[in-house]
Amino acid sequence: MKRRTVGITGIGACIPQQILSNADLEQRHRVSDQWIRRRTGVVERHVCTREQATSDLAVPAARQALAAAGLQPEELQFIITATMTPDHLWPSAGSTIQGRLGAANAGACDLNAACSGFVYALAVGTQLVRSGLYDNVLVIGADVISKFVDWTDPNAYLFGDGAGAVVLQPIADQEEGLIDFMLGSDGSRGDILQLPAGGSRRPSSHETLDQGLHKPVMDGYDTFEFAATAVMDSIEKVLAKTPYSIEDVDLIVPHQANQRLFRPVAKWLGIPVDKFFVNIERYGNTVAASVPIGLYEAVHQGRLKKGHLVVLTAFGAGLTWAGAILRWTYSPNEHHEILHS
Amino acid sequence: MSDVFVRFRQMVAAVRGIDEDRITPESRLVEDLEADSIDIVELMLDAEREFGISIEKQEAQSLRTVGEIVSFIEARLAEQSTSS
Repeated sequence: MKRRTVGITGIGACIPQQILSNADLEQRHRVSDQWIRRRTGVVERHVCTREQATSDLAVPAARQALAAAGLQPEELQFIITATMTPDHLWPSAGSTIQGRLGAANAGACDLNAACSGFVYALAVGTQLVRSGLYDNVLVIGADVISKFVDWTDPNAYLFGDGAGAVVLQPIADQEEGLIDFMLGSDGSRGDILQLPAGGSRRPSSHETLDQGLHKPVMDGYDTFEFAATAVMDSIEKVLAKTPYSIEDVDLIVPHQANQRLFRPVAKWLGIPVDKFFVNIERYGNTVAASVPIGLYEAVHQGRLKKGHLVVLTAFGAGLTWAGAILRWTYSPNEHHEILHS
Repeated sequence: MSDVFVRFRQMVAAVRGIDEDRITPESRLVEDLEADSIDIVELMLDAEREFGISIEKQEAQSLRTVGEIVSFIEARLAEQSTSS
């Protein structure tokens, strides 16, 4: 069967209305705005209310992406949601979102590759369209990590909540669209970034709560070293699968893990640091949502234009890391600020 | 001054955004040059790339001064040249 060319034909993004600024954290914990900025680059992050959950952010983002692509929910054939914080352990966030959208003709599931999840899901979604199995696929990256971090642990100040969504469809053969992917994993080092309890190994119990096992474990040194290496590896490997070199790339939209990551990586790649799209100062690290939120803002701020060669890079728990290379094919009719829920 | 010291001093100056004159073999990365933990990871990754060696986390965390790191790198390079 002939392989089809696949493009992003619509994009949406949504963050919670509620802002948690460094000034708020200063008042609640023994930490300074200056310390958080220097260590992470984050100035404020948006966090859900007690009542909100992942699908509350994903559904508005999805509706916006569908409207941008001119699609009705009933026309969707598959929804794949990258998340590690679904509304419930089961059913999947994908099914929850499918139901709330009224996408009655779509299959739906989740994909968990932590912060790499959106790029992984984009790779899977692309193949579903490229193969001819489906014409209209929705790929979502959405996480509400604020409910799972320990706000007395400084590592928590990195994080925020959000959702982003893209529609994938076949596009004209002479276009490039989504060109190639690299997906990596090293489960043997999974323990450097982990939520110990709440799964089938250690189900939630009074004991796990008393032992503090529902707080993420994150080794700062190992995580930063892994992240820097993973960004390099994903960019170099995905480029090596194409005729392009780093000089041909117009914009890199990375997972927003920590602002401190981009200067060394730009130095090693021999590129100006502003080739990386960075918005971590306003949203923090939004896990699987950070890449689609970055794409959304880059497009709506005019940094990303039709015809640009774009590289996506992401890395996270697993360990997992992923890269994508694409020729940007979508331009919005109007420029919009990111949605708030 | 050894070649390794000159090259490593350049890296420290670039990562910390300070003049090379401020950096001596006795300079302690954290106490004197105000490097934080992320600066230290960046410097170790820089050194790994620049000198083609590997530095484990435990090793990196046991080295405090610029001179100690330079000696460590020189020892690694010497091991590599005798084993190859």
